[in-house]
Amino acid sequence: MLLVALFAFASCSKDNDINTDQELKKALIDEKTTPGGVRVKLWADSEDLRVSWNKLYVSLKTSSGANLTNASVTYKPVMDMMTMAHSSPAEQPVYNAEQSLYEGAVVFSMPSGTMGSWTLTVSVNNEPVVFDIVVKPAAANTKHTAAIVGSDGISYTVALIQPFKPKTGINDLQILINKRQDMMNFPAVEDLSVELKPEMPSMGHGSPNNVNPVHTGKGHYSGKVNFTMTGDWRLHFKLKRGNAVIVEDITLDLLF
Amino acid sequence: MKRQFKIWTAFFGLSAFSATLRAQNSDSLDRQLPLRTLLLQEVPVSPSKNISEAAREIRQNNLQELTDKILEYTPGINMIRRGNFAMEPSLRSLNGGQITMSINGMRIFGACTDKMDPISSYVEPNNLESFSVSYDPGANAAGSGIGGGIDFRLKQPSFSDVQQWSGRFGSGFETNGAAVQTLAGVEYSNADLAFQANGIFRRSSNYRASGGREIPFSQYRKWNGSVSMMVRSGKSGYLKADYLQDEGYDIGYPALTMDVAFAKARIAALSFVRNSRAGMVRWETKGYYNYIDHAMDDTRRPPETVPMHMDMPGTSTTFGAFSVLDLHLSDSHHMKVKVDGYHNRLWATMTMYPSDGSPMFMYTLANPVRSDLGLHISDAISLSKKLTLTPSARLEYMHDAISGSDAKEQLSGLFEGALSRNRMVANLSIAASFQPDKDWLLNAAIARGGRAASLQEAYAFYIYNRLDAFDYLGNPDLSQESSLNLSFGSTYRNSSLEISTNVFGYFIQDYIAGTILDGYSTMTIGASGVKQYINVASARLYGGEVALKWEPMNRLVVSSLNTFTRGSDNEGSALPLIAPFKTINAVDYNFRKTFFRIEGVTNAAQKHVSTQKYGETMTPESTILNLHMGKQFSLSKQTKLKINLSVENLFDEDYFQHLDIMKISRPGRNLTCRMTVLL
Repeated sequence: MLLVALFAFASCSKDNDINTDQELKKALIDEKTTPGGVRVKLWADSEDLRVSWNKLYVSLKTSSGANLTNASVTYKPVMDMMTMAHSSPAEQPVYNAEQSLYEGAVVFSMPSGTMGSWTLTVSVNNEPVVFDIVVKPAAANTKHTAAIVGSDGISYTVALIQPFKPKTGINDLQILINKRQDMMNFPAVEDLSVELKPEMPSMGHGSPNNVNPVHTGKGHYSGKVNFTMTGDWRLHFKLKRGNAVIVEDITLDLLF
Repeated sequence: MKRQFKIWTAFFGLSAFSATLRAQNSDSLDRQLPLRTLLLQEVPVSPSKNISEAAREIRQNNLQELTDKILEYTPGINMIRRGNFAMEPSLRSLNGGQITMSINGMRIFGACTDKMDPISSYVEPNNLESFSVSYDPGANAAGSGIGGGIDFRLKQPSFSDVQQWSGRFGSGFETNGAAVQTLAGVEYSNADLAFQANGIFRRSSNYRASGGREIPFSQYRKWNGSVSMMVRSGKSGYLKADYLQDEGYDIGYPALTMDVAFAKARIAALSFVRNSRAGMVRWETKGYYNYIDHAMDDTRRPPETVPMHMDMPGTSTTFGAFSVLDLHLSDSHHMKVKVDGYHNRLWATMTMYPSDGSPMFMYTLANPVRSDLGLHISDAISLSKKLTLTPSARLEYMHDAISGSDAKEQLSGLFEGALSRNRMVANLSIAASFQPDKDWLLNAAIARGGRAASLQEAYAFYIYNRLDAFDYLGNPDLSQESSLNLSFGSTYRNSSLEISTNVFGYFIQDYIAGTILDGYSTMTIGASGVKQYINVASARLYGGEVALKWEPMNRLVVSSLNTFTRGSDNEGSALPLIAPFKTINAVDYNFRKTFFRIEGVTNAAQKHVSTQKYGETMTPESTILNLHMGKQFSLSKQTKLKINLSVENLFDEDYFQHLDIMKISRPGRNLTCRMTVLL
């Protein structure tokens, strides 16, 4: 009797868990259906999307319930600020057969709020569905994305991809650099050299044995960062194209 | 009485004195006391010990003086001073990992990253029976080092044929700092059981330097208690249990930027000793454990001197065991074999609290662990009545590792690859003593010393060194520091004069010192830069000790203790923390149970420094004058009252010594009154 009750309870809790998928360990943000009848589920690593680089996934099911694995999927984030609208950097999804998900990412550059609201248009084989997205501010004392106008007059965006969970010692560092071509297009920048300098703002000291990030493809730059202790860390990046300094100092803030 | 002052010396050459100084009331113990030093051969010589003993005896006499001061008046020993308490002994100006310090043969390692807790601070004169100094790396059974070591021997009870009780209590007061000491002790023994317990409480406010100038943050408060018990097991063996606890609170360190909230030590040992009936063999096996818990504190400092509040706790945990066999093979052949091992784990962290921003945490010692196995053999062979040779060897294997994944991760930012290391160290020596006639004794020794980098030197993570104001990083790849030690000694004695001279030269290779790392940012606010420990190709250290004792007339003794060292590295730069010439000259007058002593302590100027390289500055000469007097009253057949009065720094000189970190003035005039009742 007890066993049955336990079993019932266990299955019950599983059924109730509508916002996360146990197997995927992803949080379901929303779901919509395209005019063509494809069910689009939008997933993220956590329920909270923040002002940062966010990994976003979609799963596609046809009306018959079969997984759609060979669609062309694109993301288009748009911030509607009443008088104007702008987009932000996005990494277009690629199908991951292992997880049966299309994986991409979006850098939300500001939080949702009185200033405006975010939508994410997911196009499946050119059929768009529009998701309303709530973007929360960055966690206190952190800044995982920043934008600055370079010496060439172009605005550059730097977003932190790794370390997602910083620890003391050597961490793999990965950042994404985009530029603003116009309000709606933020292509990846692949031709910069980056100098990294970590700093603890409350102490003024840095750390040794960091490795400057170098371009590895699609605007991703990978290096190493050494955190000698926990606390507030500021990553200073200097962006250069050849010998020309494009951005003297753009910073991201981490806290752990 | 004479017997208790008799100095037994094992002759491992000049550098191999292993002298045991018996404190008061130990002569009744002597018959029962097993061999407790390297008593391979009992040579009733080593006048430098004899001579210096008068000075020490006065200090230890009423069991209330700080152990620091007792050590300070020993030739060859200089104290590195960071506060009014817990000074760090240096042996012929070697310190830290270069020498070993042990208590009853047990290895104990301080927990403080700023060396605020040398283990000598955990023993008190009322539980210290003696200490033995060995300058010879090969003959030092306690561990490996290039400069020998100091072993502190705790008071232990002894069996008695008839049931005996004895006890003591006492109290003392010092005008400077309004310091007080209170102590009590009790001993019980019968034929099969012996027990002793004692405790001391000390407290001092800030002391005053010359002219009544108060030295802030020089206060301390502590208590120390120890018990030991022996139970006979069979006819020739006994079991012995020792426990010592020492807790200090609110200890000020004027030379450092932080004080100590608490420093606690718990030291426990269980031994089994077996003697052959003829006294030809002694076998002791001991297991031990000790735990040091230490926390630095900046909350009492004025806010304007504390740029950021921080917590810096540290612990040191050691357990170990050894088994030692003393073989008295014949009158001319003595042998000692010891197998030992220990496991030491250090932990020290720093958490900083910025006024705006999040707390910052890091390990300063990220759980380094050392496992150690050692073998020691020494063999004293008398080739004739005049000549004795003593070869000795100590081999030690160490495995160092970092425990804990977060600790390893933090160090991954500094050191590449695996962090564990295996180290093998060999210490070898041969000593000869030659006694051409009854007045003269000559000795000479040659030794090869080696020592592994200490865990701090291997794995330090931005540990601030106040001496040169640099943050220090460890270096797991340090080679062992090794040395060739040559020493020569001579002693002359006749009925009224004793003079003893030692000279030594240590030729050190791979001397471990800090070198500036360019481009590293400091962790400590206000630090000048970052240094990392490296091996300096070579260094040399030479010096000597001269002790003289002259009795021009009955009851009057003139004595002089002189110590000198000089050190330089391969580039001719002066080594740091090298004490200059020190001379202690005294006149003692003893009449019945009353004594008077007038004593001058002079430290020459130290101008041989390398400010650029090691951060030291020159120190001027200093001289102070001390007066001591004491009287013992017999209140009954058993009960004795001892009263000691002393004036230290009679002329209220403003002075400091070269090993005083930050050159904080030492105490001005200090009147001391101490009373002890022996029951």
